[in-house]
Amino acid sequence: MDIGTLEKRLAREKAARCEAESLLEAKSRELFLSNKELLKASQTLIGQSQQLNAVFDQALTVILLTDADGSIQRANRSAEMTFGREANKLKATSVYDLLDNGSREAAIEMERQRDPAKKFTTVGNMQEMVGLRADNTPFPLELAVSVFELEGKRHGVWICRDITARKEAEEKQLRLEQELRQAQKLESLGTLASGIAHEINTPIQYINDNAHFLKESFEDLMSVFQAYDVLLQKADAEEQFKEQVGAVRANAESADVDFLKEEIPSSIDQTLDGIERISKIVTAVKEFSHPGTTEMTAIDMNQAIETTLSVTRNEWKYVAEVETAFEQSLPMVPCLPGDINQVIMNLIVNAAHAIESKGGDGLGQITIKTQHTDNNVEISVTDTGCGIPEANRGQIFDPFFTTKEVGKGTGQGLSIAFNIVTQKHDGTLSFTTEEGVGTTFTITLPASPAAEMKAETKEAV
Amino acid sequence: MPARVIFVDDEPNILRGLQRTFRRMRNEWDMDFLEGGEAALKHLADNPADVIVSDMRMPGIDGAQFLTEASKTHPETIRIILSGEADREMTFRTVGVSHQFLPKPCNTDDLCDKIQRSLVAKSQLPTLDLQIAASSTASLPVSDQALQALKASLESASPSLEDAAEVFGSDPGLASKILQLANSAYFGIGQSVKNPAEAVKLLGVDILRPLMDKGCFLSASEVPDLNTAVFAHAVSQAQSMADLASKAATDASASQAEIELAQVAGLLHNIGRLIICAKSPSCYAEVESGVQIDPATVGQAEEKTLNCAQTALGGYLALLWGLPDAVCSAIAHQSAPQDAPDPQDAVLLALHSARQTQIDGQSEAAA
Repeated sequence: MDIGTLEKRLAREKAARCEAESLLEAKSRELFLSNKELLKASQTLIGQSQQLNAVFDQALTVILLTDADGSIQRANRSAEMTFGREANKLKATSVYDLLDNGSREAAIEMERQRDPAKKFTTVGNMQEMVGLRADNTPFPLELAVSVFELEGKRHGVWICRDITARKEAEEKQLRLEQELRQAQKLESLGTLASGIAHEINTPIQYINDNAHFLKESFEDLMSVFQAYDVLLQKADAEEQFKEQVGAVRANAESADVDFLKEEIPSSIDQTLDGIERISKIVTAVKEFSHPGTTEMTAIDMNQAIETTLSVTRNEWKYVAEVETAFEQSLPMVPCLPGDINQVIMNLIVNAAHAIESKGGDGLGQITIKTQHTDNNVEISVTDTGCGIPEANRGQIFDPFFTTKEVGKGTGQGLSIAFNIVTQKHDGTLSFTTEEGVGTTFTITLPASPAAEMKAETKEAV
Repeated sequence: MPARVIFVDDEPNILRGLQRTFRRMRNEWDMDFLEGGEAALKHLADNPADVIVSDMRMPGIDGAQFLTEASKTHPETIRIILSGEADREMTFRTVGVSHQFLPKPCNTDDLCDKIQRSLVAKSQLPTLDLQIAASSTASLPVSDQALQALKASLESASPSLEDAAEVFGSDPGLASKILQLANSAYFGIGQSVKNPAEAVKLLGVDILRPLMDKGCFLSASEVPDLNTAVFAHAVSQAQSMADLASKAATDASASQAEIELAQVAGLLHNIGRLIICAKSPSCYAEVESGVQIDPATVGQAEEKTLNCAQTALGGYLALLWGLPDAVCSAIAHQSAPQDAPDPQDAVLLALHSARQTQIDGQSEAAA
């Protein structure tokens, strides 16, 4: 081959190589560029997925992804925390096993109602159900489910929220409202009672006056009668008055005068006795209701207890005898009289109920003692009732705790009493009890005002 | 002459009941029963009365209005409220113009007894002027110092009942008034209250404050022509007598209740003199102010001008105001216990012996 040909070939090949190189370069560049875009897209995808995962995990709501049978495929952190189970344990668990029996059926029904034809059914109203924690403790939750199809498979997304805290708040609110209603009821009862007491007092005054008058004037009449008797005896001897004397004697006989002489004074005495009892009760009601006293006032505790006993007489008289052992030199106690009366009333009524539920034939015994100890006044109410079972002892001051049958008690009595004594009066309310033997409740109230007490303790510190 | 007693109520049945129950007093009392405040005022216009027993809540002229009027036109009357009503505003209006407040239903024997004893004490005062001096007293004069201390204790942001009790317990004017209110049913059901501290606790700030604001306690500086020297001496003597009487009762190993009553009787032993200070200041015209007050001279001035010992006057006021029986009797009979219904009463004897101690102390000081 001649040089010329070789050179030509070389030149041709060079050109071809050059072309190929530039093509390679172009392709490489193309590849590089598309690779770069792919990387970017994948990074975006990763970012989005991370974001979604974060949203899924950080959501304060429980989110559970299930297959058609309700078997959990994915659960978020909220789910782990709410149901108290680890993620791997949640997986493959049936979502229905996270609910108690009653809720399980409701949830199945709810899920069935979702129309799978409509993809991504809007989440319906949340329904209140009962969930189970790992140890099977039930707790209230709100739940909604949406059903959708993905790659031809049916799935469910369960969303729920633990509403224990909200329920507690609602209950507390309800309790406060009930306490308020109770207080208002008592207040209006007090106003009503004192109004009635006042209305009754006027007729009592004149019924009493009239009965006294009858008693005295009957005695006067009887002395006149005696004089007539003497006259009658004298007339007996006189023949001329025979007819009249006979008529008088017959009259006296038919009117049963001897009986009247006996019975009229005793009927008046009984009436007076009854009036005295009524006026005692009315005074007690008036004193008891004390409308409008919202200020610490010193009261004679012994007298307050007597008052409460007469107001509550109907509650205990058929089940118990009441004995009082009052310390006579008890100092006056500063307190909110209406509230303290209520506490004593609750304790007396409780004592009566305890005796009643113990049963037995004879009357039980309620003993109320007062005594002065150091700077305190102590009031104890002891009954011979059924006592408080060990299991209930921790709860008796809880609001709404009651062992009484429906309608017998609201379960508020002791809780209110406890609140009044400890919160409003800086006192204590405690009890000792023995099942089948009885219970003693003891109230301790500071005998001098709380402010002074506090000042003293401060100095002591 | 029988005492004239009128009963006023808007409920005819109450009046008939009272009429029947007080039938036994028909020989001692001349009684009238009047339906409502108007009828009662009309009756009073033409007829004098010694005792008025009136209801509070009546249509037209109510009890407070009627008694206010009656206390002006007939200041010598003994004025008792008998009412089931304790409306607070109305009650405040009766505080100065009535002497006692009995709740309905009341024990008529007690009412009868109260009236009888008050009438006896009244009849022992020699002149109508003296009777009026006592029954027109709404409050005894109180030193400005005590009033200010009272204000301070009640008007502070956190009122102190202990401080108030202290003030009430050391001033005869304040102590007597608050014991009157607490022993009657003005603000409550009326209970037997022995000492001012108990009365303060019983009434509470809610009632004490308006009492003070409404001027229920008379300031000594508002009394015209008051002999300040005699007044100040009387108050200081009352304070020292309270201590002496309580000590005397303790020495005689009296009960705790009697010791407390003796102290109150000591504090109130010369409330008669406080009445004279306020109502009849000319009595002390000859007692020079500025010099050492000699209690004997003061007593002589009273005897001379009024023909009466201040003890009789004070005893009458104490009865009118329904103070504890032992205190009433001790005040009235402190100088001659043998004349008392119960000459051996521990409170009376304590006050009598405290009085001796004070007289001895004074003559020693003079010597």
